[in-house]
Amino acid sequence: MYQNVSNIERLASLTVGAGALAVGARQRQTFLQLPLILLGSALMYRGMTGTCSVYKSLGLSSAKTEGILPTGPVRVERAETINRPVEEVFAYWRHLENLPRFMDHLLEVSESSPYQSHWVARSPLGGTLEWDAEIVEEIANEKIVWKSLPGSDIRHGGMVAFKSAPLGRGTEVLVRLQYEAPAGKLGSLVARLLGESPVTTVRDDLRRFKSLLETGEISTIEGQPVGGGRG
Amino acid sequence: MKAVCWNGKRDVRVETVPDPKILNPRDIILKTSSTAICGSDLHLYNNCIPTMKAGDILGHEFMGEVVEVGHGVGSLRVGDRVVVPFNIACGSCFFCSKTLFALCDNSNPNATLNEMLNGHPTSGLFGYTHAYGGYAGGQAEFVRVPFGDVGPMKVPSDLPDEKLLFLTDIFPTGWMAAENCQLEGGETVAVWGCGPVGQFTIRSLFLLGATRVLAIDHEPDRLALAEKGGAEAIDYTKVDLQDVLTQKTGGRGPDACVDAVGMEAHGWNVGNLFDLAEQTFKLTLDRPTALRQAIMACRKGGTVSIPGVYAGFLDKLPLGAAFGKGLTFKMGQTHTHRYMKPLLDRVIAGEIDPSFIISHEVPLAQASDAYERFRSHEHGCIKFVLKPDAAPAPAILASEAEQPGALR
Repeated sequence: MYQNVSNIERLASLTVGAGALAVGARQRQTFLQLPLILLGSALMYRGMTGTCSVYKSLGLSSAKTEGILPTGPVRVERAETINRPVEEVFAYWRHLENLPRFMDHLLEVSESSPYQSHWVARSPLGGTLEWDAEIVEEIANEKIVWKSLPGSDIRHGGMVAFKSAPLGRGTEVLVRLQYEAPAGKLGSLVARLLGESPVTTVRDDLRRFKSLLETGEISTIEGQPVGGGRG
Repeated sequence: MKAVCWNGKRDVRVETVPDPKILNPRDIILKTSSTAICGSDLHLYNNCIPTMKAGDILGHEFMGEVVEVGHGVGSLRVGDRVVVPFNIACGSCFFCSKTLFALCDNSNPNATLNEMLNGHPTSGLFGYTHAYGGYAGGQAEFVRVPFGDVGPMKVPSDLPDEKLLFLTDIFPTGWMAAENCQLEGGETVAVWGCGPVGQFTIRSLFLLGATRVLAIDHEPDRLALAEKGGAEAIDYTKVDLQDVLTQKTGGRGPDACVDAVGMEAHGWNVGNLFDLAEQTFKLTLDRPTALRQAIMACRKGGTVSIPGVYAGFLDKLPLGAAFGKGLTFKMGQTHTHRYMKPLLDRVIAGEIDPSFIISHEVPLAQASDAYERFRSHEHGCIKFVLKPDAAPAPAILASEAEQPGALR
């Protein structure tokens, strides 16, 4: 559903629109009544639909692009610099069975051949999602490109690129992911409502990957004491 | 165990909570022997910094004895006596390798939230909001210390806790504030705020070569302690501050100005009242009165050093004056790990006795009373040390005779 008006503005449009309608309805003079009712109706329409034709013609939008239904497949991109040599970073990632150690949603990855693998993930809606993936391009210490195979719960493809960072800062890792969520657009909306934003997921996964390689562990507070009835 | 838990604005309670456990290979567990309330804890107490949750254990100045060691820590053993820096650092990321420990990439499990606030995530801190990791703090009988092989520093057994405890935060913080003044020797420096960090800044400035320190506050007891440290006291409520600072420096202005106040400045000028109103309605997080004055007072080409905590967006900051006078700004959380060993050496050498700052030592059980007395700047309340081992007793007020650094 297309939307170019933010929720706060929608609420404001509804309020002001309702006011204009109420005042307009009581007006006895037509030259005042008609514009008020027109204005009120336009604002009510704007508030209810979240679309504004004025904004549209000017190419403006006050709505956040995140949080509304995506119009196509979900695309995510995130970079991180890891203070380790590129060979080590590449090798750790390329051993795909390592991925569940830092990708929170993954339960298991098993490599059935050098280029084919089977993936099991926790679904944001409960249960598991499974798919087979194939590496379609690989350049050692530079990049890995993969895509899911037919029959997967999630149709997706992605690329992870590695390069030495300047000034001896280690390795720059860039992840680019594109996928259709389960049950298409609706699934993606539900997933987002549950706080399972793919952007956050990729960002956090990549951060955990970095921590694991740089420190050997992933920092946590899960399981620490807490008071106030939260413990 | 008993722990000091934040439960909302001016609501701090000593609660019974589970003991901490080792959660990661490089964790250690410490039995706390001494812990202090920091001035920056008051920002949390006053609910001025977002992302606290009811039940969070407070405290980032603590020391004690190692009682459990994760299998990834080779440098410490059970029984070691250590002081712990208030920021948590991994020791191996780019920033740690540059000794910018407060900017560690890997110690904040809530990095995403911190990144939203700061653009890039910074290190975890003990007991200091979920944006800084949500780690349980050290105002407790036991505390889990992540990266136990990086932060904790072993201390000599012949020095009492009182001389060592402040290596965890306020001494290094005052030291870095003084170092950030970029002194070459012989300078005059003005310090806003004579709380614990201001007091350590004053003493550090002299150790680093300043000739004169002008100490600004309105609490007579704090000004008196600043004078004991060698500073000239200025009660800003009694004078035209800008004028006095200018005249005392031959018309030039102080070579460097230190804002050791931060986001909750006092002062009844129009700007601060406006900020106070905004802060009350959460329109702003900060009341930067001290910073505004520091910018206006600083000499041309001088340095403004900011150890005071800020958390949001500043309003009505005279950036034009800062630009016009070509000022340098140095600020940030202290890279505590960098300073602990050299400052310990100065304590051992007798150059400074950090226990001068302690005004009260009370049992941990009386923490909520201590917070309120510290917040209200009750006369003589400069620094509270909490003792987890001490039996709860009715208001043990450190007698002035027993406390060499105490105030008259």
